[in-house]
Amino acid sequence: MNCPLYYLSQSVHDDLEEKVESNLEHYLDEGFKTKAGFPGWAIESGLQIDPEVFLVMDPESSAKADCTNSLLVYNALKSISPAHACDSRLWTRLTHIEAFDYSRARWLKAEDGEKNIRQIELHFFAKGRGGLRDDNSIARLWWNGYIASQCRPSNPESALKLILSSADIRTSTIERPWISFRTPLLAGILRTMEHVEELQYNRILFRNFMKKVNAYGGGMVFEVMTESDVDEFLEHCIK
Amino acid sequence: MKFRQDMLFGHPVLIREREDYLKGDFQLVFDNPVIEAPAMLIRVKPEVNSPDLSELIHEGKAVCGFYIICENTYFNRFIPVDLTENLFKFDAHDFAGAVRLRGVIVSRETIRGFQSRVLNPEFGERPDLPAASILALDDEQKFAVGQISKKPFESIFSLVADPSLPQGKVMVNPLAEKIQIYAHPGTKANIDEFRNTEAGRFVLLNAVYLPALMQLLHDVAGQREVYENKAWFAVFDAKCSALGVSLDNPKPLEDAQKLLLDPFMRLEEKTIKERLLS
Repeated sequence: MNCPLYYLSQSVHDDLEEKVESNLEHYLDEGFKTKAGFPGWAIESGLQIDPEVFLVMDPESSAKADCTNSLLVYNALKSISPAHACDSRLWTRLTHIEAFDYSRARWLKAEDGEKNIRQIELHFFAKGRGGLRDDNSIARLWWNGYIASQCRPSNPESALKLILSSADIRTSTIERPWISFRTPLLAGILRTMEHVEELQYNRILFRNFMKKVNAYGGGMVFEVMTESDVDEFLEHCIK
Repeated sequence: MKFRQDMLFGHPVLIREREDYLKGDFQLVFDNPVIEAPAMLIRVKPEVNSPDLSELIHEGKAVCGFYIICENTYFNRFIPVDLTENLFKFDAHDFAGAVRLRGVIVSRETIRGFQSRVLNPEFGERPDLPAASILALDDEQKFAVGQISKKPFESIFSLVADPSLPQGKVMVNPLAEKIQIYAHPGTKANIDEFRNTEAGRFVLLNAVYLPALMQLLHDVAGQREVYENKAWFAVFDAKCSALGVSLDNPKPLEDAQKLLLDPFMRLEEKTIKERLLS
């Protein structure tokens, strides 16, 4: 059932950010659900979500779970525009309320005590572009889904499987803005990974491939190239 | 794989202040974007003052266009344009913060034996121009979208006590999520005291924040990749874009004054001046 998508006020957001240490036991226990409707905790975004999605997410730390969860989150939050997705207050609300149980199970361990503070700072908040894209428990999944759907609008799942097949591949693609930014190039890299499957599991081969893409692709305008020309260039980079 | 003014190409590229061509100029003139929510309208007019490149465009061997890039939202598109005036409509929700525009002319195919009377002789008489390559590159132009550029500067700075510093000195650390201004605990206490009055805040703008921003502009110049994942960067970049401050080639004193809206003028306001000098 759909319900409004909320975000936090800046002051509630900043207060949470400052008090991670003193709130540690809330993070390791039941969280902040009782505050969901408090002033500053529920500013309407005008968008809707189905919060049930967060109940079925798999908290396991694996590429397979990240892939499934990315699709779940992106499909549930498709109405979010990229501009909305840059607002850390929205993601901080989700990780503290609607997606709290998933985020705690995925990133915190009660037995780790104060080591959890760093995990909370990274995964329950979204600091800067890297924090949104790589760290926030839910935002990172949304951006995975968004970038995959830009590359392959008709089949984002297949793009996600390739991008998330290893941490190394995600790092070399999504975390390199000048690759992930350029949809025709990233789409071509994914096609090449399908043709040359070894790129999906041979880390050294993939790294060398990406080094050549960077070295030879500097100054090339992939946006005016046909798919087959992009593929030809990329195949040249494997040799 | 960014396109930069100082990039080295193996073929001639028409770029301002480079001498690949002895004559000629290329520019895309952008009107200020108009936001008519949910649309963002951009009017563009190319000025190609190079008969040789114009001919390649008319023959369909090259295309004129522009990149529109918003790093925060991963928006990066190449938009081809006619050589007349063009109006483009984008979805404003695809942008947040700094947006960059850069005009280019690109080869659609390999152009063999390119001829131009104004080509620098170092390229030989009839060089080949590779396919899908930049043939002309305009300066980058920037603007800002959304509320992010309107966030107060205070939201990206934090004041930190550091007993290792001598009293009266301040240092800037841009490597944290907020830009940290370090000061001796006694100095920090004094700064806090100044912050409690209107006149005191204007003094701090001039004595602490202006030099801190100058230092920051100096540090960031040409090294944005070191800082762009820091939480403060998106706000700072958007503010710079809104005011036309280049992070690649800043003028620290001039730009810091621009960003702080000429802070000395605050001290020149009659009531503030009287309070400070009485």
